[in-house]
Amino acid sequence: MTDDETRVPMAGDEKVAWVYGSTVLVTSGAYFVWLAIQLSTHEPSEIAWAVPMAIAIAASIGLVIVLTILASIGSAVWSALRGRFQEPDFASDERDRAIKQLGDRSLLSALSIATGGALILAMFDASGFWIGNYIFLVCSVGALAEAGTKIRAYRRGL
Amino acid sequence: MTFTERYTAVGLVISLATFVTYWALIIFRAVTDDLPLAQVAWHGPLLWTLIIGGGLYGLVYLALWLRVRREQHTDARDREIARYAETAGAGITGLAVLVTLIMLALDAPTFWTVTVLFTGSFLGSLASAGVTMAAYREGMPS
Repeated sequence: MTDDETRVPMAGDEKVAWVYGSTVLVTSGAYFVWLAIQLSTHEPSEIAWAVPMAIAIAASIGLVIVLTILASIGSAVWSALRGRFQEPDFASDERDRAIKQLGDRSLLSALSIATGGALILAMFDASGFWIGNYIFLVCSVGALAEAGTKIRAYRRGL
Repeated sequence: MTFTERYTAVGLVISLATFVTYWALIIFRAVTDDLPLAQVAWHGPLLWTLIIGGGLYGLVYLALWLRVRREQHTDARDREIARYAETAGAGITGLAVLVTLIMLALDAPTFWTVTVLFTGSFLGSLASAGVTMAAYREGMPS
């Protein structure tokens, strides 16, 4: 029986969007804070940014996987403890797919802004430091926009 | 043909022409000046082919849009195809951006980095235009 009072569990993909958005916010945020601190004391050419950026990207991917698993287990245990256990539903339905496409579009526009901007920066002979960090910044913002769009669509409707 | 299908077809032709022109210029310069590819002055050709190609596309889009501006020119099917096609090219463009980042981190020569980025995003747009055309001709895969 479902009526307006029954709690509907959060869709699996919405959980992933929350985990994804907050992870990127933390990892990319930490990277850019580190970069800002470095920039205040060093010349851009002296900053070894490649390894920290690789760590930030790897941490994003790893954390999203681990935290998604933990969040699924955690929410299942939590609802079981409160006596509302429901068989977890991992299948994606029509709405999940529509929302995913909507979110993908934000990431996609970020990709084209990143590509276009990087080409222009390269034409003006900007150094690898600026081009690389520009791309990473635009992609991080795009990932946040993607997660935000999805969460918004889940909460407020398409 | 719907509005979307028309401007996608024109865009496909223009982006092919832009890409071929850029490479023709670069190879021509490399041969006539007897330089290795990576040392050719690529800035000018890239800038101008992008400006002219983009400008041309903008003009055609405007011209096509002016013809249909009073009508309901885009329906749900057009939007669905556009959304579906955009995702199709995104994988290639995304891969190109990732490879670019790695090349920048490793301090690869700028010419090759730019080539990867330019070629990758060209292939991405080619894929999505091709998928759009196919979806109009043969219908969306279910």
